[in-house]
Amino acid sequence: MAGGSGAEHGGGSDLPLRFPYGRPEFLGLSADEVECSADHIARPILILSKDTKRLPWTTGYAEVINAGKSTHNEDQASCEVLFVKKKTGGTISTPNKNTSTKRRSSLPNGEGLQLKDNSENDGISLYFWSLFDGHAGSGAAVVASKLLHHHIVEQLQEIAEILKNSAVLPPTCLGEEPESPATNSRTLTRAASLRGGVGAPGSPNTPPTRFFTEKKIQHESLVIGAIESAFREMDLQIERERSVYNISGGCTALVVVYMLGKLYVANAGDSRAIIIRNKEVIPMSSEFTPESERQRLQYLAFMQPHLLGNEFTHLEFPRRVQRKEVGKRMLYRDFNMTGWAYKSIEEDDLKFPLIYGEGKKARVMATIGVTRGLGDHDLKVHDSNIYIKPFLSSSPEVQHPGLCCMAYGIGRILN
Amino acid sequence: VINAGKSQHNEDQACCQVVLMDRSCSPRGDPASQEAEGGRQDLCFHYWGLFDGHAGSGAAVMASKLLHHHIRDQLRDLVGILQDSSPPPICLQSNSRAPLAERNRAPLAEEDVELSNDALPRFHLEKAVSRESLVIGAIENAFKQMDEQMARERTTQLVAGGCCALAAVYLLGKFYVANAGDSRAIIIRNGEIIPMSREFTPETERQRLQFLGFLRPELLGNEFTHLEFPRRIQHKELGKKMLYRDQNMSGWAYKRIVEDDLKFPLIYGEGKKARVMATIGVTRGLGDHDLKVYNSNIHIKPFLSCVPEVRVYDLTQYEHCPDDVLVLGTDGLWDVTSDREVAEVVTEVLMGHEPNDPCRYTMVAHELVLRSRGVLKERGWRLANDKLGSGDDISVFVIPLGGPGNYT
Repeated sequence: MAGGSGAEHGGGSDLPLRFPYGRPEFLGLSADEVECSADHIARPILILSKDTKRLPWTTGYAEVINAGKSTHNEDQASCEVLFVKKKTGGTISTPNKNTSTKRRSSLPNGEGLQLKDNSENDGISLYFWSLFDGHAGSGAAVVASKLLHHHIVEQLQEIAEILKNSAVLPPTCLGEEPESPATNSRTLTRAASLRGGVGAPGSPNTPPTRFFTEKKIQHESLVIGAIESAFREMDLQIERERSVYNISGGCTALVVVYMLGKLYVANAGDSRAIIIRNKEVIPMSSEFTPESERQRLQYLAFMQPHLLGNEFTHLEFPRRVQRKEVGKRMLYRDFNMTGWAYKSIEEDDLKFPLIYGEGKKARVMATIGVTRGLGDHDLKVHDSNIYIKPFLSSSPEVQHPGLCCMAYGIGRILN
Repeated sequence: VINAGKSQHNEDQACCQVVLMDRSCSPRGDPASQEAEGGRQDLCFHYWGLFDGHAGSGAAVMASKLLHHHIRDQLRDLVGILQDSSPPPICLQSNSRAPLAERNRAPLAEEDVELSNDALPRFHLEKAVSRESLVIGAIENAFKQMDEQMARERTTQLVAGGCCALAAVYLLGKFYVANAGDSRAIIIRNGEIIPMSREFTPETERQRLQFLGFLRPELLGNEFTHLEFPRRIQHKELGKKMLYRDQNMSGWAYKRIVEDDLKFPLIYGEGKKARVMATIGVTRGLGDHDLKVYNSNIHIKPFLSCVPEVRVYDLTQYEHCPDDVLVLGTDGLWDVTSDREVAEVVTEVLMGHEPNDPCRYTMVAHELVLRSRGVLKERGWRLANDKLGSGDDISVFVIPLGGPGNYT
């Protein structure tokens, strides 16, 4: 993780906090207990106490604070059972409220929670787990842990009706009648499609009412799209509200959703999810670091060089180039290369490389070690006016394993 | 085999060479550097190339004649380094191509550190670059150089069309398989299939293409939108909500349709019919510098890439038998024959030939082409199960992994 100081910077200290700092709600800690847990020497491991209600699906959870890296534990988590009401005009949850989404808690006697099945007519139930690894301040992680699931619900609400109707594929156009197969798809001949054919720009007689191919979109694609949109909307909300609230730093986001018998794992950052089943390890996420995203970052800098503020080069070198090496040939790597080659060093190559360092020490513009997440809108390169955010992405990668229904907690998900 | 009528000529091309990288031919050729290299051997590499041309055969012909020269040019500078057991030097000392004794593994000495960046800590960070990655970089740059040569020379010579390029290079115990296009390479080893390439189509490269269209909207010429829709949008659907997908999304969502969305989508069509700007169905390759959208001034080339993906297979990690092969094929083969079916043909044919029969791999290649082309019947070219055969040009290499040696 990028080095984060304990100071809450960004947003100005005179702005109110969006939410007060705390540990995950489900731990049920008092303010004193939160204070005590912030012991960098003892580093007590926090888990659900025996008298606290169980987490949905008998989920296990444990956390511990850092050894001195920052004052507060900057990780956050949330675990919810959510209900997406089919749209009738009103929305079930608004992200602007401070209260959490209406939810059903687990029963007092600790029974595992059963989701009502699809026989329920007015909506869809889903399980939601999330982890947020904050850096450069705890604000973004706190906000995301309180609000991201609202965005998920909001995005899913749009398509709840369609998702409930598992027998029918989503309509391309909302509100239209699903077309009968006879009139639906027409395939182009090869020659026509190669040169554009009917309906393409430049071709005569564009027919107004016929379309030649129509992609069939599966329900899962809509869920993935909804999760992707929720991440984006959460990031946009942080961007908007940071002028009104103090939302410091940024955070990674790892989200797991279980809905309608399917599991979705969405990761933006360097957290990780794996499934352990029958002693087999099944990776459920990829990590997004300057190393794994090197080519994307270099390409962006190549296409928009102003983002480098004349201080960085988009090329990668195995080490810093020294002035005496101008004119010599050195190893380099460009955005479209996975291998290395030699080039003659020029003045421009003396600039600090956009990507530098290896493994956990790999950094973008010498600043941040993770390339996806939420927040960080004000993060700048030390002592400069160069923003890092254009290189970061809030888009998660969503994995969707083809596992059968995980009722009865047979599958164990470890985050 | 030639196509069934798609184009006048067979637009596939192939090349198979042993390429010598002779030190004495190096461009600098100064005797001093050659002495410094001492007892270095001349190096050679084995090379196979398949080129699937489209819109004309010029690019494929040119690539089949010249790509391996570009690979040789890029590798030639590295001959000394590749044969040295120590890691490649980060900086080549002096003007000669030969690296001096390597001292760079130690942390930088005090006087070497840049003095201007006081705010940043001193680093001893130095990435170790493998010899393998130098070969990969050389092949990547060779493809770029080939494409640049095509761009330069098309003003003076006719270099019609474009082509995919699939190249296999065997060098110092490793196979490097470089693919830019929709051809495919697989290894069949002990009946197991090991993919050695991926295909580059509007579907597999969708997000890269959409992102480019988003960053550089002028490339879309005001006729295309970078968004993807499941079908063309009709005027009457303005203001309605429709399924869409942008460069950041792998799922789909609904958006309200605006005027801009009525434009033709940058990526359209599914599977083999997926197209960029309604024109081309493959997104990587060489040439195509003048390819434009039909009846317009919009160039396709900015969306295409000549950079291959390179995969490495280490021959020394496994004891190969005469039945282990690397199969290279243009899409004419893979359109109708699955990897599994190819593996079955390989096993079947090789079983019927002695291990030291010099024709056995030719027989495999022949059978693969035959089984993809099929037999001409009344209703066209048909495969054994009466499915339609491939009407495309089909070209296949079958390369024994055990090497050209004699097997007993």
